[in-house]
Amino acid sequence: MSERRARAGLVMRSFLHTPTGPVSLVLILALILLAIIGPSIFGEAATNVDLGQASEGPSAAHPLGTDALGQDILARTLAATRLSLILPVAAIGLAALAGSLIGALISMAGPRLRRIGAGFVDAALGFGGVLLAVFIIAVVGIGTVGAVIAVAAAFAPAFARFTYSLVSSVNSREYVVAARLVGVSQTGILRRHIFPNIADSLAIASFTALADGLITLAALSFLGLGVQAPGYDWGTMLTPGVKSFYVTPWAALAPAAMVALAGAAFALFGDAIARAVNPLLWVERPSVLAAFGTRLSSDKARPEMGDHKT
Amino acid sequence: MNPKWRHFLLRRLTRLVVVLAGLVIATFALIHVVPGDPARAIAGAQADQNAVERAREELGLNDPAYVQFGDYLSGLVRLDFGDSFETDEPVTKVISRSIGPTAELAAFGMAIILFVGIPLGLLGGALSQEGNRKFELGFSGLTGIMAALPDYLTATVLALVFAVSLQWLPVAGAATLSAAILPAIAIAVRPMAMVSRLVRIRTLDVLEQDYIRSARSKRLSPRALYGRHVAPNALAAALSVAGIAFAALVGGAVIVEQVFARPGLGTELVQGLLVKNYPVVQGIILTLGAAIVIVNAIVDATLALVDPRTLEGEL
Repeated sequence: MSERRARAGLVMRSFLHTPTGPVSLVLILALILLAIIGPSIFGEAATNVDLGQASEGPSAAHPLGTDALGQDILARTLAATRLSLILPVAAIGLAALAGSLIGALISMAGPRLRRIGAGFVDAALGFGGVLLAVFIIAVVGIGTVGAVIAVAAAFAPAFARFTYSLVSSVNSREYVVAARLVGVSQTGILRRHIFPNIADSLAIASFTALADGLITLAALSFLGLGVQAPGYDWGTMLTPGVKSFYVTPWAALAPAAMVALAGAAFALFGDAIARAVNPLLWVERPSVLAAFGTRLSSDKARPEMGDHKT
Repeated sequence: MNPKWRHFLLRRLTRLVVVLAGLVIATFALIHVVPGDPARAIAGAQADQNAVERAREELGLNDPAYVQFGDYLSGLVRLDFGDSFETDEPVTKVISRSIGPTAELAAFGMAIILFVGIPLGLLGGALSQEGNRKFELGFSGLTGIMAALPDYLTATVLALVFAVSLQWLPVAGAATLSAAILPAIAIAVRPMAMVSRLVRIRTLDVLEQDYIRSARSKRLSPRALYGRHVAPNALAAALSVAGIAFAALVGGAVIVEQVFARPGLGTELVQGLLVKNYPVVQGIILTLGAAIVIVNAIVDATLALVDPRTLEGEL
């Protein structure tokens, strides 16, 4: 027990020593706080229609100006935090659950089935997240639920691939082979050896995926396929925003910047944890934002060509 | 042709055909699994029961599934994807009208990745030799930020700066080739950053090989060094992710076309989804998906030419 605590302390210390860890942690905590209190503080101002003050530039009353309905852009951007965060968290949670289950099943299957399953996952990955998500939206219909399912389905193949490559690598380790030889059952091996070995990798990958999922979900909302009026997230705010470039640039910039900020916070956090948990990453080439370079969605089909160092 | 190549091509072609078949089945299945009634969608919410039944008959939804699938296949062979629910225009016509603006974006984007991304990675690799840590950190940080920017944010900022404020480039449409520049940059930034990171690492790997070190100590000319050793490796590294980069460009185009009000496949696809115009959605997803699958196959073949080691890979 004390050994585990000592290790947790070590991880914590090295996390705080990463250049990006504390910054991203503070950012995420601020975003969570905003998601909790944002709607109750700014919700009223955010939906207060005032056509007399429509499409105005920044002023004392409206620091970032107003949109076409005279609603305060700053208040709307802050109040939209809750929905903009909850939806991708739900989607990536689903994707991680379904994807890692599929990946584990594939890695446990016989050689023939394994090849078919892996081929299927690779084919799905090849189409890219956006096209997959759009296809799923076509099937399940537009709207908030549709967008969450679509993003979950778009990211599940990446988790499946990640899981089965992790499981295969653990599976071929000597002690697992030995355990199998002495007759430990498959489920026993899975529970005792494989799961503890891949859980932290999966958790870290989830943060990187969360950054991407947040961006994709906002993109779907921006296209009008996700959150529908009167609900609003950062993506839906962007739609009228880009149409009024000339008049009120903040209407587009504020929500887009929030998407980028939140995405960066999650990706950096994932990167910092990965470094804290796996000290080996420290002695290799430095890369402040390594998580971006090895993001799940760009997980390559040919690992031997890959970027193992970053 | 040597047997290794024949084996490789055969396997790669089989995979291409299987994935394309999967794509055709998925797009066919689309109309059968959508919530609600496609016949109701085409007839309109106010239409009476007779009109809905007529629409159902016209769509062939009363036929058995295998007959419908046969019709769908024979339609595909004749390049007939059915008619748009909205305008009764053949879907093929919608696609041929809007494929140009999207293809322009994809081509420009690929060019940016090739002519900016790869040289950037090479340069980054050459400059970060001898453990120049500060440069490495800066390079990784910068490309890391680029790889994390949502393409619609890049698009918005580019449009504000170059189209709205400076007015150097058009802000919307696809009337001139110059209108493709900003959206192409916007969708290329992320995949380009990914490629240049990979190329940099690869370049550094090659430069730190023992045989290269000894060759350099014997005054191997920089031209031979970069031309014969570094460039092919860097190209292979870039090619290994070119398929993913292309898929990212296509996905980016679907989103960014909206920012620039560009009348391409993405705009038509999104419009089709909003009004449940299933034939258009099917046709465009099929087109974009097939483009990605085919480009991937071509990339793999090219990679095998550049780097024959991949012939023995898992494929």
